[in-house]
Amino acid sequence: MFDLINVEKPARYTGGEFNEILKDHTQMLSSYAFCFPDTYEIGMSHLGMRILYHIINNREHTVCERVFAPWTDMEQLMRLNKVPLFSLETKKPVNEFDIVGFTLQYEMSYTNILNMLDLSGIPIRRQMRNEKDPIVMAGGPCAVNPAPLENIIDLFIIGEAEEAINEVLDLYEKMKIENSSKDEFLNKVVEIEGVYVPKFYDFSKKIKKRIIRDLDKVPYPTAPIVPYLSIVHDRASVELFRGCIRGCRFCQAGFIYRPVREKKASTLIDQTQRILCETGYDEIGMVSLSTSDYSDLQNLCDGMLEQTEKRMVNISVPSMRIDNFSMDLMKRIQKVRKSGLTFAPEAGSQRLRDVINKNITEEEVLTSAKIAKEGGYDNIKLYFMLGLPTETDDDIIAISDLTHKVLEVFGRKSRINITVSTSFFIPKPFTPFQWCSQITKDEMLRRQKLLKSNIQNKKIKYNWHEFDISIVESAISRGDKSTCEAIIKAWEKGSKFDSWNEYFDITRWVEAFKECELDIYEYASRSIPINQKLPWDFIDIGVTKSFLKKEYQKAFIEKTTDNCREKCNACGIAKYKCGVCFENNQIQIQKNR
Amino acid sequence: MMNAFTRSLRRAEMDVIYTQGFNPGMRLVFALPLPVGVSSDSEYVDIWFNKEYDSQFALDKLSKSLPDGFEMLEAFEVEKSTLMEDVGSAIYGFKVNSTLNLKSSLDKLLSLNKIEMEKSNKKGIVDILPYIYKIDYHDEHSFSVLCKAGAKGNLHPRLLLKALEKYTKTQIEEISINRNKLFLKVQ
Repeated sequence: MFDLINVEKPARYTGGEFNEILKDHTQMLSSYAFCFPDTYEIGMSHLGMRILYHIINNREHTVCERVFAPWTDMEQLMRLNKVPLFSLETKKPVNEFDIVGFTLQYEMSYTNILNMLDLSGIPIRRQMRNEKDPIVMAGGPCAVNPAPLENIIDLFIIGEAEEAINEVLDLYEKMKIENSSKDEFLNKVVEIEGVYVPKFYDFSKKIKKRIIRDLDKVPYPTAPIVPYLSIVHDRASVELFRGCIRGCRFCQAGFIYRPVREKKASTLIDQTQRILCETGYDEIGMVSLSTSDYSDLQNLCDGMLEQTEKRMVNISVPSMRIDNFSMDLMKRIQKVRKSGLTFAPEAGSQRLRDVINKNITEEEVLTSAKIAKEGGYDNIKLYFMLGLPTETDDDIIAISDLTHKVLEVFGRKSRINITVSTSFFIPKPFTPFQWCSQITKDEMLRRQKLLKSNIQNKKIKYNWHEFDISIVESAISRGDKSTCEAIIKAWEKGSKFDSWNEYFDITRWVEAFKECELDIYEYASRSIPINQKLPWDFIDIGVTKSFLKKEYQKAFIEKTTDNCREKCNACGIAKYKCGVCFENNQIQIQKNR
Repeated sequence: MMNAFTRSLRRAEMDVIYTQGFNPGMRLVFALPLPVGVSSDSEYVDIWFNKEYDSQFALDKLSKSLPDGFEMLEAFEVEKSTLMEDVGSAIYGFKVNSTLNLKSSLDKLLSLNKIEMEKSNKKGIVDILPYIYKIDYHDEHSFSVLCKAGAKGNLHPRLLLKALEKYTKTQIEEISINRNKLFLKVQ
């Protein structure tokens, strides 16, 4: 082996952190390498990985160890010294595990999956792997469209994996004892709900996503690993709920995680206490898609504060709507620093906000700004999207107008700093905008310039997102089987760490797509006829296609849709018989009496 | 290091005093900060508590909550913290790669009248010779140095490597530097 002192941040590869789980491999029935296709700092910040690490290791005879994408300096040394990719816990080579599982959090990490397989000495294509090679699994939000990884992954789990992973491992261990072949296992595992095996897919049936119906009963890691290295989210976290009641039409998470299911405040307070005792963290985050929508927020905050105050621990609340209640709360929980506030109106004009179903008015934004001013904040971030369906130049100018109005609230002489950030709209599977086109590169440039020219003020800073990356992300996220070949070719040309600007190179992707007889620009910006078959039609996420079509049509007549708590819009998810749908039924039953 | 300690103290649920002010933190002080990339065998730390703890109790409690690889050696009560002023000297172990005859080069370095080096903050020149108390040569790749350390004069271990490079006009590749020991002055 070589000396890790020569690589940047050696602690990315050493393991041995507090609460790490070490098991004796000789006593195990199966071993699982949990691979996160990005750096340690990003992977360790991801809650899903923490949860599954805990769940798999809770099994008496299964060991789960962590693997991250080595940074390029480390990769170079590994390849030079012929060191295969290894796990953090026992430094076991990845290809000696029974199962290698990847989490698919964003499309731009796909080339890292190929690179990690290659560094492990595992053939990239599933067709090239044999009995000796591990089974390669994948799950996570991007798995709702498995086609772009069709020839790479043996087995996908669609939806929430806490229960399904146990069923898959039970079967695997049983069949391993029986000396079954890999193919025999893969042919049998398709019987488990939510499992998609490309090799043995029966086209007559849809793959139904898995969900956890009662989050209070599912195990949650209260003794998570505490890294030595400072990571992106360097804090403990509790998960308030899954799903979102709002249904913004561009947002994939808002549809695929339905229905909203909350944990009880008492569960969360108990988990807060345990997690703080076991980790010693000085900060705990409330994790959810929209914290203000938690129905028992007052009790939760009181209970959590009781635990955090005596320990001098901060609570961080991302995704919080700013109103009087939350500002009051902020004052109580954030003893230390006033880091700044973020608003996400997403669109500048009311018309466009109606199109995307972002139910927030200009008045609400300005009231929030006023509250933030009174709270003493002088750093405000505003998030918008450019290139949303039906966007006109007027809508872009409205972004600048709204920003200037926020500035007015603070006053021209205040010390306020406003940062406007824009990203480009990317059409995603299972959203009402899945059929919509992405604007072309030239349009992106023009609209960005238009906004820039309208924001000329020293107190306002304008940041924008890399447009080439948005184009590739659009191409992959709505990709089909031919996209899978293009991803392989892009990796062969050297693509990896594509979500890192310093490593991303559009020319490799343009060529890779060209070799698959596709123009990446046309492919990314294509609009799909509403009656055309979609590559992800065989996946059933619970929300029906007819509901998405209805939402698509409502968008173009600028009509909004009520949130799940105001009114049930019959999206189809109620068939899972849990969460907010059940809450609504309760309410209706009470009214009928 | 700092984080590993504060988190362990929290896990041990020990009643540590917090600093006042804009960004409150636990009141604890390490004797001499460890330069980036330098490892260490042992360190001294002063910790302020709200409560009076028995030394042995505190030692046991904190030992249990420290991550693997950390070990508490000794704990005792102090009237007042003078740790930073008390640091007097340190031993650093060096591992290097070079084309030099290490022994004769080190001897030659010590036989000079003075070793003038630019200070790390680039504010003036300092003679580091009086800071070097003793050099032990081990083999072609390793040696250790007993040197002055602390608030009133401190030899940064890398400055010694730089001096060696400067006076031999030869490039030296640092493999590792370890702080073997830190000595406190006896009052």
